Amino acid sequence: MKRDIFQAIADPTRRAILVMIAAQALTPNVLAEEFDMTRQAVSKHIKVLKECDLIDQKQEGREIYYQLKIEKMKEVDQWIEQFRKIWETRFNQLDNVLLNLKNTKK
Amino acid sequence: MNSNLLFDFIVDKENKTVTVKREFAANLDLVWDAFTKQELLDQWWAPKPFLSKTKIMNFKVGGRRFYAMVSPEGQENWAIQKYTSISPKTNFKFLNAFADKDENPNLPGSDWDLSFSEQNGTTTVHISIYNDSLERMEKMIEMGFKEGFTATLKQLELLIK
Repeated sequence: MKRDIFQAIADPTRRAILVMIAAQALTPNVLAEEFDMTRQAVSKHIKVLKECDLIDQKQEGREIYYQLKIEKMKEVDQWIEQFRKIWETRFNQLDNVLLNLKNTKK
Repeated sequence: MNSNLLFDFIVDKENKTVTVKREFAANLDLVWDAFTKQELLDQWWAPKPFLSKTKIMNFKVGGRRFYAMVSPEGQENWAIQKYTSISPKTNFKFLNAFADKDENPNLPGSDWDLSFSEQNGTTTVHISIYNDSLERMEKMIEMGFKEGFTATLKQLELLIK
């Protein structure tokens, strides 16, 4: 099943995993310890993230390491940022309107 | 913007909801007016360089606001907000739909729920926008607000926390 990025970030644990592996590649064991979860639970999240094409895995010796595909993550970031920006601008304008209203009432 | 004022922006894809929360350094009466009076709304609703142009506004249950976001090139993007519930100075809800200039809506649209509360002279506005599909949210952005920016993971981290 092909998923999209927004499904990946809808879950708080997956967001936390993404933030962690953004800093450095990590093994499933380390992730399981960090989140106090079973390896199976971590695997489930990893599976979703992989299906969303957000993470890469590489084998080093007997260990698997997961790392973030930064360029994919930027797609989400850009989309959300555009939307966020609209509201930020809008509210900054509202701050000014409110300030004017307050001053006229004085 | 006063950095002490809270600003939360959360996109919840699973629940198809965008939540926006913001504090304002003004009392409830003023903030409520700014959200519900045409002449005030038009002063801030459209992010610059866009202009908000309200053609019809009848703030009562069953009433509507028919307005356009006008681009610097003069392109008009029309939308209708139909008020479905109003509890004065506490909450109001509307159904938002894009439309053509003759007020023909492009349904289904999105459900907006706006709550207001004041504490010690600071008013908090909590907006939740429910969309039946992500495409509609994307459409909201496509209404002409594309602007260049450099995104960083750091920002994302802050946004999605």
